[in-house]
Amino acid sequence: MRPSDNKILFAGPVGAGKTTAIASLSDIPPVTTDATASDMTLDRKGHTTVALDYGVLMLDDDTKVHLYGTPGQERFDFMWDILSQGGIGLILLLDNTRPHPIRDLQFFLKAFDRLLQDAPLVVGITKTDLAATPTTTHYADILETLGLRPPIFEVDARNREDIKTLVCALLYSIDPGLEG
Amino acid sequence: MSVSTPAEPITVLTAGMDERKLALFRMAFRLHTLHRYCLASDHPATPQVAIVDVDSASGWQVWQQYREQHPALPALIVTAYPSDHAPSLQMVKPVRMEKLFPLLRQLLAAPGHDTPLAANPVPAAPAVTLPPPASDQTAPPPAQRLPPSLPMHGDSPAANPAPRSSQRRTLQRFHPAGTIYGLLVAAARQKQPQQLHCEQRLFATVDPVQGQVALYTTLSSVQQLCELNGLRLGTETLATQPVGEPALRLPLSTLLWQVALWSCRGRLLAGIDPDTPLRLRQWPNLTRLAPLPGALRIAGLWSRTPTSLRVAVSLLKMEPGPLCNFIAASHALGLLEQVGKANEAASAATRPATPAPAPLPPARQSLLSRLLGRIKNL
Repeated sequence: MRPSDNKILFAGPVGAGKTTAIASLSDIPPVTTDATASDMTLDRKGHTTVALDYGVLMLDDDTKVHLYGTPGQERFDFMWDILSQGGIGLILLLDNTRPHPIRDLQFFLKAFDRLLQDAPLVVGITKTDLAATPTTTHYADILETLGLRPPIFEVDARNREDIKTLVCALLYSIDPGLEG
Repeated sequence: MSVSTPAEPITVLTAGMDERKLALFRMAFRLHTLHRYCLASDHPATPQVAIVDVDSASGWQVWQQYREQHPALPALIVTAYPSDHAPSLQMVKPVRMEKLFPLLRQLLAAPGHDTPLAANPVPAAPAVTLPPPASDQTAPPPAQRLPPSLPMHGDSPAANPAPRSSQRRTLQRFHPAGTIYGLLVAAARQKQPQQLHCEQRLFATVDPVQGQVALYTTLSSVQQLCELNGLRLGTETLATQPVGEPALRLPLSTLLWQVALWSCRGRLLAGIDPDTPLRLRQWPNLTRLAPLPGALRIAGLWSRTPTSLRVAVSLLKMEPGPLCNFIAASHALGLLEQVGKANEAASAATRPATPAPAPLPPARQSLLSRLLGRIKNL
């Protein structure tokens, strides 16, 4: 595996917490390309990520794991395939307060279907304190129909322990025998 | 020695117990209505009987010290590891109310002298025996080291050979009947709100559709109740809301998971065959449930590859206790299923039910292990 292939992707709609999640793990201040939101996102965030977020976890002097937050806007979907190449796995963050979070789930599953043929998926549901439904069971039922049985956790993107749990679950999905 | 009337509490001296164990007996005494019992530490009176726990760090030395100080006071020995040479009546843990009080009454009615255990047989809880987890990569594959069947306590001697290795471990069974765990799991499977009673008191209301529970006692009391068996429990469909405010409202899944951990305590849930592959229908929402060591690894295994408990112990190199706790907790949430039939167990025990994914290349495994270590230490 080339060093550049060590990637974990964070995907999800605007405001789901990708930028915050990467910031809680990264060894460097995350590189964030924020700009004034387009009309599509104006009512949710004044600023949003229009290209990508980038962070890095240093394992040693020569080995890095790159953390990419992929934009939540369809007009940047051309980037998703590029970022997916060689990814360790996908962490999908879904905002439960959005009008149709199940549709968001389906949208991102389709967008990253090529990556998910070889790499594991973990789903983090954010803002469940504001919107309790859909529940993790609802999401699981949808995913089960697609032959997927990924970890699905309620998370607070500001809580580092929650984000660590997502990443650990991703790794144990690859190999439950891993010892870190 | 005469047995006290209900108006005169029977004072019970204790030895070898920390505050948590004392709280358990305090709770049991409070729930018992036939006679009034109280702990000597709570009631300054001459004790009439004693309960001696020999499972503390001091072991049987506690008994010797107790007997030196109280040569004539009848005592009940409580232990998870009954001895064939116990000097007095003994009760095998977990503490069961329906056994505790008859034994105490027996001691009070005929205190006598210390009695060899041979005159007081204690039924052993059904148990299963598992090999130790694999400890290194050079060990033979787990399938080759597994015995073809699991000896069960209570089987005939021919069917229950002595363990071939002192490293093998015996798992006690956990029977949910008469426990808070059993009460809550049964209520969670209903389609209508339920009102639950424990020892003739309102315990909780459960709404399985909304996934909510209202507790009419404190969580610390629930924890103590989880250590008791043989409780008098009742369930009825909730027609009207009970009078009075509950002590606590919480998600049903949160309580079920926590009660499972408090109740199971490393024992294998009755009805689970250790040789039948298990599979998770869905990962538990582990960020919002009580921590359980190794839960992410266990869920990772059982969500992708149906595997028996015996194989899981070897594959994950884990002690069986956390796996048994996970089984009880995920079963409580309705997330666990047994795959295959019991009569297929012998062959299933030696391999996963579906082919396990190919092992990762060493370089990839090394990277992921280091990443895991890095994440854990953040």
